[in-house]
Amino acid sequence: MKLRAILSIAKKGVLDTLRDPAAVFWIVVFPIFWLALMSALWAGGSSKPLILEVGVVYEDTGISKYPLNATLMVNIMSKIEVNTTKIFEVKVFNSTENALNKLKAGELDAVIVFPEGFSQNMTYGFTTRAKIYVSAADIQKKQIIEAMLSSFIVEFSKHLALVRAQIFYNKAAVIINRFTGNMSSYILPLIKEFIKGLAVPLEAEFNEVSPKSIATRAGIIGWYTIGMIGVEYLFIGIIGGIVIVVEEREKKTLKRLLAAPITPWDLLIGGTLAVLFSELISTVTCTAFGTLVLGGKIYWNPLNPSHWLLVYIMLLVALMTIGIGLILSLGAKTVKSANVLASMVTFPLMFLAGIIIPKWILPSYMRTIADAFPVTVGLDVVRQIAVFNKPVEALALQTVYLTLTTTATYVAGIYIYKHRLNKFIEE
Amino acid sequence: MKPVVRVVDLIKEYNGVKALKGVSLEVYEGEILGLLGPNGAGKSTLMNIIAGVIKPTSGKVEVLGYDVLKDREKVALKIGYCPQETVLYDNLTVMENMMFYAGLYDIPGGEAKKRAKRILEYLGLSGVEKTLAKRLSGGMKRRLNLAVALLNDPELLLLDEPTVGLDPNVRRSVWNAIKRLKEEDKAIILATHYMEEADELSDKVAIMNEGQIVALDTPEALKKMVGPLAAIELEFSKLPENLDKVLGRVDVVEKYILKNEKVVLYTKDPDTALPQVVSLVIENRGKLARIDVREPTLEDVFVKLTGRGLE
Repeated sequence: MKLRAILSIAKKGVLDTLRDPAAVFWIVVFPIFWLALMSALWAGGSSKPLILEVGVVYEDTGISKYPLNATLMVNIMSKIEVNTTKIFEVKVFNSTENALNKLKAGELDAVIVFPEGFSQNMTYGFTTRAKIYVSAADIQKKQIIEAMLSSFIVEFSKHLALVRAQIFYNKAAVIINRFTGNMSSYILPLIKEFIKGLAVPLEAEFNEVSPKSIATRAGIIGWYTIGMIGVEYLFIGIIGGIVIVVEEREKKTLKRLLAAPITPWDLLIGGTLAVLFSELISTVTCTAFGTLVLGGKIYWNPLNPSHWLLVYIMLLVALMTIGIGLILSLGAKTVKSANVLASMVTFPLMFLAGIIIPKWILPSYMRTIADAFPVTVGLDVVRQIAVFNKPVEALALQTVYLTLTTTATYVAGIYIYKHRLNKFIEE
Repeated sequence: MKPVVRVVDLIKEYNGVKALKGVSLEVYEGEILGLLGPNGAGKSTLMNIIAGVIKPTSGKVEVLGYDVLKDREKVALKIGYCPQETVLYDNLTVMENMMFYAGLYDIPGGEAKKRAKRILEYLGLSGVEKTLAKRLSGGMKRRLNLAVALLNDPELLLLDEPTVGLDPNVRRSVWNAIKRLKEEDKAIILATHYMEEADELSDKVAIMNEGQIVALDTPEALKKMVGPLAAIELEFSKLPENLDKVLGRVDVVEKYILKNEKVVLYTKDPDTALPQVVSLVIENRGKLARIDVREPTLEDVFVKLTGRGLE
């Protein structure tokens, strides 16, 4: 191996890349654009709650006769707010048919029909029933509508039960007072609590807790910045790995290079260095834009020796993607086919391997893939250090796993590189 | 005197097909050996084996006493290889291309720059050092291809079709550059399918056909192989009827080659043959566009040896 030859090959690769507008777009412009988009989508401030359009039909003719009636329920519903936004937009219809037609036309999310006797049953303490129709146009939205209405009905039922319990207690207290005399001051609170317990046997309190470091906008952007670096490594590394093998053949320079006093090793190492340089440019671009422009938080202290593990991990991830590219070169003969092949592999991985889309929202089988995919493992380690500020000691297992898989992948890539090179020379 | 290149019984097979069938030759210092043959004759394969790019199936190649297989890197340092294809990087400037190749030969930066400037000037390329290779004309690219081959000051130059696709003026300037390199005592192997190029530049010409050297000698000696014959070239605007029969009736024609609208006749007696041929062509409703009587060329030698033309 000759250092001057290797550096010449690397420099040639770098110059060739930097003077190619398409390459500059993918290395510099694309990550800026994508990060800005991600930032606006996922960290662009407080998101508004979902508002449901609910149609209401009063088939109950006794509303005005009873103090606890359907309009009370609808009034409460129309006043419910989440983060100062009213979440139910109620429209009253004169017939069930009209309301259901609107529901079918997609103009409503749900229809609540209050049948005859609803208010009477509510007032007299009997079980009262309403009919609810939910739009099934979108399965996920249907689940959300059902959950929101169910929550409301549960809360309203609880409220109603407590009102009824209070009425019952008031009447019962008069009688108990009469029979217990002085003892009533001890007995009545117990009975009150007992009646309340009958009305509301179980109470649960829900509290939102976000992970410490991504609870903030800065943390979310930091998370996506690492993800974007991962996407760039996938694109640049895989395409670069394939191109190392096929480009010189396509340009018809391969035989001339091999007539010089260099070895295939020099070509491979020089080519790898050029790809690593492109990945470095992309890393700097993403980090600078993510932190300085978008305000993302990334922990990096060069004086902390353990933070240098980040550099090692990033290098491994970069070499892993180049190794994948070298292996994929089996399926490409030209730079154009390299781009197509790399896109076919990279796009699904980008979205389904926990790189730019968090693993916890992926289906379980995809999470299994993401947990095993070394690039994701590497990015997770980087996120643990750079975003969650976790001590590196806790990441030893992942680091060893990444080291072993990268070595295996790159060695397999070298084997395929030599095989392809020999084939191209003999063509 | 020891040969710069010594090739002994070289055989190369690709998937059972023999591209070279036992080629042997020697080239000495200050000598240009022309490899003349049509496409597929095995010229480039021979060049690639001498350059150490591909391995022969059997046989031996020595450059300055080194075996190209065992001492590949030492041999590579002594060889300047200018392949048929342009080996330049379009997004690099002329000087960057030169510096890149200099790096492959482990030439330090300062020295590489000096050499590059000298060679570019030598080949008439000074002034375009900062121009991107993609902006150069075809002729300039060819000369830069040659310039790259000279960077390591080689003792052996392998030039594979160095003037293919160039206009006559540019071709002539490349020829002049090659002649000057010969004057610097470099051994040169020049593969070409242009017979006038081989004739003009070569001290010796190896005529190759189907992986074999069918003749190897000086151009003059090779042309004498055709015998004391003259070549009459006839170009038709309308071919006569039964051309084969017509030409067969001219006794003094020893051999003829028909290609498209053109016929080359070989005869010891052009004065007798020419009027006979012209009158027979007219009788058979043919129309002549051009007649040329000339001395035999290397192409005629090739035709005599192989029975077919160079292209």
